[in-house]
Amino acid sequence: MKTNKNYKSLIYHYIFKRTSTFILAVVVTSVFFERTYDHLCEAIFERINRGRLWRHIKHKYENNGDEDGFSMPSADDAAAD
Amino acid sequence: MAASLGRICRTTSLLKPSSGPIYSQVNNFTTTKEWSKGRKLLTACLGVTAGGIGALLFSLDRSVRAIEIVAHAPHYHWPWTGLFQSLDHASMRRGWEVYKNVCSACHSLEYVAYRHLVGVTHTEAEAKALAAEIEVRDGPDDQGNYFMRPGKLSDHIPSPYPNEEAARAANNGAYPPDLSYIVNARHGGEDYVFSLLTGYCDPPAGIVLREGQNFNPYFPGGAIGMAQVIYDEVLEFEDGTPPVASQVAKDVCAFLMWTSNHEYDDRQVLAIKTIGIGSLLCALLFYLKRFKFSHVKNTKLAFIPKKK
Ligand code: HEC
Repeated sequence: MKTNKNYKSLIYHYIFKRTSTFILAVVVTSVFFERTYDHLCEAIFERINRGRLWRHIKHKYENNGDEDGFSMPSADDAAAD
Repeated sequence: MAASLGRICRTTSLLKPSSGPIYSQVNNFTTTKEWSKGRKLLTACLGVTAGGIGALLFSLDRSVRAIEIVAHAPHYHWPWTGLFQSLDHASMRRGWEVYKNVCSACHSLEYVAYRHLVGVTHTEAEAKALAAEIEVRDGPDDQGNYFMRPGKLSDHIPSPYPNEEAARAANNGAYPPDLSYIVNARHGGEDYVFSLLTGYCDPPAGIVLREGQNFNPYFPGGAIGMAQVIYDEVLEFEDGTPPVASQVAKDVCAFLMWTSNHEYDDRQVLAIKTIGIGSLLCALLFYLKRFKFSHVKNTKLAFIPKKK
């Protein structure tokens, strides 16, 4: 293998050339892309609606309850991490 | 519009044959070129008439609404009015208080369960406490008997009346509808409910109200079986917001907006996601089109006759 290959041909050689690696690359990138994209969009949404969502006001009501440590994983909590 | 008019009237001047071999080919393909003057005129007239009738119907449809004897609710600027705006959860929490203290005396909310409130207007502990306040008939137990137990998160909000007949009997024959989906079930939605709650006034001369009826210009027909229920200081908000009538009405509308559209906030996030991905794909498609067409547009076809 030549050492002076530029990154394009490296990508070609390791990813695009074989269908198996290509599919793998598609799957892996889509997983990461979707995670980041979802987080990005939710961050935008929260920024637009600062102070209005439950997540922004729940601290006012939470301190007394929930001693048993059990809390239902709501969609909001999952998105807030 | 302008393009099709132009095509009918002045086909040749739009597509100049001098601008290259491809264009002159296209020019030859147009079917309107051979039309007689009369035919072109007729087609243009038909087009104008069709457009005119459409515009007329549209404007008639808009103005016909003035015929009904009912006041139309104005459009208010709600917290969720506009692109990507979420519901106001603090307002919805107060709205729940309003429902519980005022509306629940007559209206059911049967499609909302206590578990729905968790993570929306209340914490789980609070929702459990709310649910425990009610008594639910459950059973049969292992003796086959029905019994009463305190409510659980999975229980739905109890209805004030056991059935519609009982509700009518208690309200002079008028049936207080279930409020779960009322915002989606009425023209004007939350604007209507707000106007209805705050719009009570004395009936104008000539309107006779029967026993138990009240006048409300926003209610179709004017005579509504529900009395005015929202006044200044009709309840006290736990968070100290001054309970003036418009605030109370706004908060209960915010709550009812949510009961009708549990997924409202998710839809806003989804809109952001869709528009983002959509514009990305749009840009890609645009590039792809240019890329493919650069080939087509740069191709020259030449006919070279065989030399003998
Ligand atoms: C005293 C009982 C009572 C209370 C309290 C009450 N309502 Fe009503 N409500 C009624 C009755 C009865 C009707 C049916 C009216 C009719 O059809 O003429 C009604 C109808 C309605 C309607 C439907 C109007 C339509 O377009 O058909 C809405 C919306 C409504 N109420 C909202 C509320 C809200 C919100 C509250 C709490 C702030 C509330 N009501 C409190 C008795 C009540």
